[in-house]
Formats: sequence, C-alpha cells, structure tokens
Amino acid sequence: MKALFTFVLLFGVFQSVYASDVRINTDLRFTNRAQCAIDSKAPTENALVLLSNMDVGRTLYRLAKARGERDTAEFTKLGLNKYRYTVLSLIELIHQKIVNNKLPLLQADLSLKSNLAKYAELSGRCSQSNKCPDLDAYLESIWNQSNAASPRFAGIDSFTKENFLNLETKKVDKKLNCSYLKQFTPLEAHLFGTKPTADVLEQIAKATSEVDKFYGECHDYSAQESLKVSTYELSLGVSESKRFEQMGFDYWNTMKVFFSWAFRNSKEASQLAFPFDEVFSSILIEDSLFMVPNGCKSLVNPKCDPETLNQNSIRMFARHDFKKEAQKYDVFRAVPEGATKAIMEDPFPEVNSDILNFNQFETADAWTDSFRQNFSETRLTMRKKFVTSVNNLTLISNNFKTEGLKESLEEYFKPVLNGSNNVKLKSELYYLCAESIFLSSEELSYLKPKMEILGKVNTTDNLTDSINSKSLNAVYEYYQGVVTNVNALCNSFEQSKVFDPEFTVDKTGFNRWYVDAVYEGKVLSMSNLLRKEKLDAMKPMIAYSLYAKTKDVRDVICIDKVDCARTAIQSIVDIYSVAQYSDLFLSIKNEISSSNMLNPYAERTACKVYDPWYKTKASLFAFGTDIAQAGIAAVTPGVIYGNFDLEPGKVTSFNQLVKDGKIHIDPKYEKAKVISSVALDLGSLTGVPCSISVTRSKKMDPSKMLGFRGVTVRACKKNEKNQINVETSNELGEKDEKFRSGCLQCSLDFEHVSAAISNAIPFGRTAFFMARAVIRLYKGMKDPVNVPRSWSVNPYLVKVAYDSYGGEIPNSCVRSLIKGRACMKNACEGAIVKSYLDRGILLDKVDASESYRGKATIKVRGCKNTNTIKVFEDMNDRDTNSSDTTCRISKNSFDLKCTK
Amino acid sequence: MKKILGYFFTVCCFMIALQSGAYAEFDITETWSIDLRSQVTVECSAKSSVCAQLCNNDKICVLKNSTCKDCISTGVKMTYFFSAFGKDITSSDKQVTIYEFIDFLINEKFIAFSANNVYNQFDSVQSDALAKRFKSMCPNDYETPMAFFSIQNRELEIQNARYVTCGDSVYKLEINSSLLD
Repeated sequence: MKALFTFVLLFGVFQSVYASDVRINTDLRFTNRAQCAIDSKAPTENALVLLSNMDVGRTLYRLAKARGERDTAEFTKLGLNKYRYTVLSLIELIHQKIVNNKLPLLQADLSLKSNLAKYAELSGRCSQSNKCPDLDAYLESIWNQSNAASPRFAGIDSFTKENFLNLETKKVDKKLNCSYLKQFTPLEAHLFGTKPTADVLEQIAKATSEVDKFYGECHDYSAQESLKVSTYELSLGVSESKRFEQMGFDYWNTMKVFFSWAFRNSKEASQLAFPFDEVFSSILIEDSLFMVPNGCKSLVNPKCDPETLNQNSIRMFARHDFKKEAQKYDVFRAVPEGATKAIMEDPFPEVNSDILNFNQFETADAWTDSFRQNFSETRLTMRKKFVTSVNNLTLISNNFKTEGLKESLEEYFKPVLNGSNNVKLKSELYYLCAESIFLSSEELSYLKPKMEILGKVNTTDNLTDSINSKSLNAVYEYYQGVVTNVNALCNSFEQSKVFDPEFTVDKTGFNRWYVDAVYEGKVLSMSNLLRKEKLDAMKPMIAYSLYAKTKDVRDVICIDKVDCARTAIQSIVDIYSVAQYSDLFLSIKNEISSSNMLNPYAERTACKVYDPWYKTKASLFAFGTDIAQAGIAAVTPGVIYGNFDLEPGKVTSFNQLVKDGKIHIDPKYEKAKVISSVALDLGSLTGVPCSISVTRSKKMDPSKMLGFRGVTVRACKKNEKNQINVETSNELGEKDEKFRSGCLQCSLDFEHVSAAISNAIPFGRTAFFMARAVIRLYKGMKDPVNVPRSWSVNPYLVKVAYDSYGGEIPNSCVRSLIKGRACMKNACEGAIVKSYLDRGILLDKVDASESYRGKATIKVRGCKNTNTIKVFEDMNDRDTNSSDTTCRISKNSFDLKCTK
Repeated sequence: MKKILGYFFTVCCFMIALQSGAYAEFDITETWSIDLRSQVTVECSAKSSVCAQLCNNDKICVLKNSTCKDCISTGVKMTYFFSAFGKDITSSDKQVTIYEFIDFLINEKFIAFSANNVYNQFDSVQSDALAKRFKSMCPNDYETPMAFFSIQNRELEIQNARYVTCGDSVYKLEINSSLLD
C-alpha cells in the first residue's frame, strides 16, 4: 500500500509547478488605503490557498483504526499528503484547461448581460441549493468536452470565442506558479505597509537571497510539517494581460465552480486521489478550502450585499487574540446586529498593516491553523445552535398546540393573577411576558422587523430539509402563534397590581438573549440552572425517550407550558442570530469560499461607505450623490441602490445612469415603471446633464429617510477646474465655490419622508448611503492617505541592487526600485541584468568591472558555474540612474552553460 | 426491470428459506477493502441461510456500502445526523423479517453507519458517547447496532432511514423523534 502511494506522490514531484525564480520575479504591489479600495474592483493574479486537513484527517485516522493499520499515524499522513496532492493538482488542471482555452469561462456576475442563457438560468436556480443535478449535468457536459480532441461546446450553451480566456500569448506565462508558504516574510511586505522605504527594500533584498528558506515546492510534502493545515501561494503570471483584467473575475468563478464539481465528480480527481478517491469524494470540500486574494485585489467583484459582508467578516477569525476578544464580536451576541455593524462602527479600518496578524505567528501554517481553529469551532457552534433550535421548534410545534394556550397559561398562573404572592410563580410570569412582549412589541423592540424578515427568508430552508423539521416559515408562524397567546395573557391583567411595588424581579432568571439585548450582557443569566431545578421536581412535557435512561437535561426539549413557550421564543432568537451570518456559517453553495480577507475596503467601497476617488477632489459632490441615492431609493421602492461611481465633476444624466447600469432596479418591479416614476419626480431633467447636490437642508438628520420634492436648475458660475475645499464642506450650502463642477447643474431639494414610504424600501439598503455620506464628511476628512497611490517592487531587482551597492539600498535607488525598475551601481551591470531578465533569466552575480575590455562575468541563478559574456559599450542606452557608461550584450551571450 | 428481478429473487429466496427452515444467525459489520472501498460484510453461522440468500455463499457476503455526498464534514446535515442518533433517529419496536432486509440489501443502494464509523467528526475516537446513543436504538440493547439509510443513486444524497440491525434482529429505522410518554 505504501509503495503505491509513494509512487504516485513522486510522480507529483516531477509534475511540480513551483519555481522560486518566478516567486522573486513577481512584482509586489504596494498600495495605500485609497488605492487598495480601488484595487478591490480588479481581479487578482495572486492568491493564498488555505487548506484545512482536519475533517479528512479525522476520517483517515478513524479509517486507519477501522482497518487495523499497524501505524495509524503513518497511514493518516499518507492520506493527507494524497489529499493535498489531489487538491493542488486539480487546481492546476483546471487552470491549464482555462488558459489553454479548453474550458469556457462561466460568467461571475449574472446581473450583467450574458450569452450563456442556460448557465444564467441554472446558476440562478441553484444559487440557494447544493442539490442541483441539472447544474451538475451542465458542468459535466462542459468538462467532458474539455477533454475531447475537438471540443464542441455549442450544443451545451451559446458559447462563442468570447467565452474563453484567450490570453495574449506573448505576455503571459501560462504556468500556474504554486509555492508552499513557510513563513510570512518581507517577501509579503505589501501586506505589512504602504510606501516602501530603503529599509523595507533592504529587508526584501535579504529575504530574496534566502527565498528557498521561506517557500517550498507545493508538492514537496516532506517540508509540509503541519498535519492540520497547509498554506500555499498561487501566482497566475498574467499581470500584464489586459484580457485577464477584463475576464479575471470570470476566471476565478470558473475555477471555483469547476473545482467543487470536479473534486467530487471527475474521473481525473478519482485518479489523482486513488485509492482514497471514495473517501475524498465525500468531503464537504467548501468547508476546508479557502482561496484568498494575496493583496487588495479580489477573486470576486465585491458587491454591497449580505453575502459579501458576511463572508468578509471572516477576518475576525484570523486575529491572534480572537479567543481572548471573542465576546466582543457581534457574531457571539445572543442577538447580533449583522455584518453591517462592523462597517458602520469602523468605517476606516487599517489596511496593509498586517491586519490579519501574520506577524504574530512563527510559521504561515501556524497562522492558518489558528484561523482554521477559530473559524471552524465557531462555525460548528453556530451550526449546532441552528440545528437544535429548528429541531426544538419543530418538536414543540408538533406536540404543543397554540390553540387555547392563553387559557391554559391563565390556569397555570391563576394563583398570582388572583393575588397570591408566590414570588417564584410571579417571576416566571414576569420572565415569560417580558421576553415575549420585548420581542414582539413595536414600541419596545428593534427586533421585530428583523424577526419578520426571518419569516420571509427562504434561503435557509434548504438546510432545514436535511433536518427532520418544518420550514423556517412554518416554525416562524408557530412562534407567532405562541407570542400572540402569551401577549394576550400578559395584556389581560393589570400588571401594576400583579407586579406590585414590593415585587423585584431577579434578573438572572431571564434567558441569555434577553439579558444580552436588554441589559447589554451585564447580568449573568442563570435560567439554565432554574430549568434544572424545575426538572428535578417534575417529568418533562417534551423530551426524548432517551431521557428516561440518561436523565440528561440535553435530552429535554421543554419542561412545562411556560418553559415550552419560552423555549420557542429562545429558539427563534437563536435561529435569527445564526441566520444573520448565514453566508458565513450555513453556506450551501457548491463553490470554493473566496473572501477579501486582506482588504476591508472591498465591502466598504462596494457599499459606498468609502469612496477612494472622491476624497480630495469632490467630497461635497459625493455627499450630494449619496443623499440623492438615498432619496431616490426612498421615493422609488423599485430602485435598489445607485452605484454612482462618477468621476468628480463629471456631468451626466439620470437616463444615462440607468442606461449604464449605474442604478440597479429591483427585479420584482418593472424597469419601465420605475424609470417613469423617477422621471415624474425629476421631470424633464432626467435627460439633462446634471450633477446632483443638496441645496436646502443645512442640517440633515442622517437617521431619517430623505426624499426629494423639487428640482431647480442653475447655470455654472465659473467654468473652471473643479476645486472643492473639503475642509469647509461639512456645512452644506454655505459656499458657492462648491458648485463649479458642471456646465449645468440640477439641484434636488430634500425633505424627510414618512416612515410609511421608508418601510417600502428593501431592508437596510438605503441606510448604507446615509451612513456613508455622514461618516465620510465627519471622519473621512481627517485622513491623509486618500489620494490613491501604488508602488511596484520587483524583489529580484531589489536584490541585485542590494548586492551591487555592497549590501545596502541607497536612498537614491528607492525611487527607481519602487517603480519596479532596476538600480545598479554600474550602469553596464544594470543593462546586463535587464537584458537577461527580459528573457526570464535571473542572475545571482554580475560583474562588469571589465566591460571596457568587452567582457563581463555572470552567474545564472541555480547554476554552480559562472559565464563570461561579451559586452559592447553603449553611450545611448541610459536606463539606470547611474551616470556610468552602459553596454549591450552580444546575441550569442544568451547561450549559457549551466552546471547544476 | 432490476426491481422486478430483485423481487423475483427475493420470492425465490423466501421459498427456499421456507423449505430449508431459515435460520437467521449472522453478524454484520462495516469493513474496508484493500483499495479503501467501504463495504458491509455479512458473516453467517453454519446454520444460517442468510448469506446463501444474499450472495449465494454459505459463509460470507461482501456488499458495497455507498459513500454519501458531503458526509465527511461538520455541515448542517451531518451535525443533525450525529446529534439525532438515538434521539430523532430511532428504531420502531417492531421487528422486520429477515427477508425484507435481504430484499433491501439486494435491491437498493444504501449506506450503513455504525458507532465507530469514519464520518463521525463530532466525538473523539476514544469517546463512547455515540456508541451509547447507537445502543439505545436497539430495543434488545445490542451493543453494536448498524443503521441503514437508502441513498439517492446519482447524487449520493442520504434519503430515507430504513433499518437498524441489532445482532440478528432487524428493526425499522425511523426519523421520527421518539418522545417520552
């Protein structure tokens, strides 16, 4: 058995795709905050692959035990290496199919026009389910064709040449470069800081000299010591490809979708995994594999939607102090506010400053393991909470009818309702009424609208299918039946009499969710203890048969009527709390996760909380646009949100915005009707070039919804370059200077609109724009790093510069090096380095001290020997910042000897 | 067609069994082949006719134990399954005939779970928590029961709870919470 595995894995080593040359010759892109935000809209060429081996590891260990293997550890290790090999090889295989135009691209953004009608239909239909045989069959047909000598995709969908990657062949390296990341070092400096200094460049040079210490071959499993996780870097080598810039998001979508399918279903995966193929095909691979952009760019074009926000909140699990700080995170609150909370509370977080705490861990795998452990443990807790709550509510609803509940509760509480001073019973009534009324009362509770949304959510119903349960909608209806009865009871007696001034409720008796929501967690809930006490005295009303043997409280659903009602309420709160982060914990999509872990501005830019372009040039203009978006959404329920990424000072028209897809229309409304209703408000100005601004309201309350009631037009006062004084712009309407941006300007008057109108808005959407506008004006102004800036550093060129200057980077070199250019002490050496680099040859040493004699000595990276080459002095080519005479290389100097 | 043949075969087995005086003494376990395929192995005593009926071999039958989609995970489905054995997933008190069970084994694609199965991501290897709940599924308190579920042929989704073997006795398996009376 071992011999078989060893053979296959050795075969893998020969197929190795890693080249450290490529790693040190890949530019590091440094960005400041604004540029990082802009970059989030571009597809990444570099990704980190985080692979957790825990699920498969546990299974392999159990399998070894079941088979009676003599060395279970060795068997497990062999299986894990096979697992890593299968995952990496399959990624490589899909990459090859895509770059060689054997596999068509599957469009990532289906809201855009697509010629792939079938894919669009299937993908839409299957987006909320992991059971989609039609999509599987579609992917299988494409995959099978991709293996054919003359693939025929036309019969599957309307594929055209445009649906393939068609990379510019000269500019790109079609190989997927994969390396095993041992440590986070200065070679990942772009994740640790913005503009590189001479010191940073020196660190990069030193790390480049020792690159093999920090990176390994992907398929060299002997170097991958952690059995729990592995951390890899992928580089597509397409940084100069315009086509990739255009199609990159489709590339990643295709990679993720096909990986999920092929890992389970393809014969190639079976062959790679053999003899573990049967075991591996049962793995929920999406739980174990994460692809993360290695920098600010994205794998998925970030959108302002719950899925993006949820998935990006995964960053918290990477923090080194996660466990210590866990209770601070919204996700652990009994009633979490959702992923939007982080954006609102921290609109301008740090970026590119080791935000994921890589530096706290000795090895990359130690970081990945910490992240994995934090995330998977939390995920399991949430899943257990979800399963238990749905199951509890199902069992309670099946066995405890709400008809006549009020009357039977009245009977139960009869003594205290009739004046008895039974404190225990009184407290029980108080807890029941408080929890029920708080959750359902309009005056008291901010939870009510959230709870009602839950009743309409059907995204998690696919999950309840796999539980022996009713749909979420059904359990929510049952819960409503419970609270209607309980509230009727609670409103039927005079509370001031029953809960007389002498009565003091012991707050510890409330359930945890209530304590958290009302007392902000400052009171410790002891309700479980009270339940146990109650259980000692009576037989539970609903419990598993198992309870008769175990007497374990975990086998009890609820103890009596009051407990059943409170458990139903508790369960709905628990379901809601998990549903708030459902994309993070309950995702059922069959595609690999790919959040923007390293760029918190991805979602902030998408949600318009942060706008990298507007800061110094047009803050006020942007503010006006935000309010306008909120206004449009408020009076026009059909408009989802405006995606106004206008350049400062650009004039445009509403019609053009709709035409360009800048304003998205809620699909459930007819586009024509929505447009005409907006046209009524804007009158004839919808077609007039117009920059939107606020004219009247000097002090607007950002918490109130706004609508616009009129339009005025004014001519430009000055037709000069747009220049807005951002320092004074938070007092709206004060200065005329800010209205210089167009030749014609329409101004919208805003007013607060009634709650009735705002209720028609899809939940949460307009709030983003309001928050964005206000947050930016009050906080964003102070930030000095909002002019987009980027720097490109080639580690190899830094290293040769460092060597050339005898082990230092002079300040005079920084400017060239951070533009990705060479900087050599000797100009001829610079020319030699550049000439070889253009042909993909990296040099360990170069010596042109005898160039005046027409020769130079070089040592090619990876070769033991040196080569003497012919050079010609050249006065014309001055590519470096040295004043020395530069040189050219004779053509035959590229035929080099290399002793390995 | 396969079903009709299967049914015919079962009826034949039944007739043979009647003539030979069927004696259902067998031991059923989850095993793994050398090339790591999951199997269910049925070993029959000398007096038993079960193996003969099942695979035409008097002593031993090796049947394919299916895999299932996403079963190696802590996903919602598996979280539910492993919390539900012995609680929501229990046996009915009613024993089924060995012929019904043989018919199932012959004609349907199935997955069998025992307490120490490879899919358990929730308890440590040393823990006997799941074993205790498995044991509670057997009305006869058999130590190592095995739960059988039918599997959807192509998508490998777990479909219906079918049987639980408690030694030689086979019971209907139900996903229908068994509650305290």
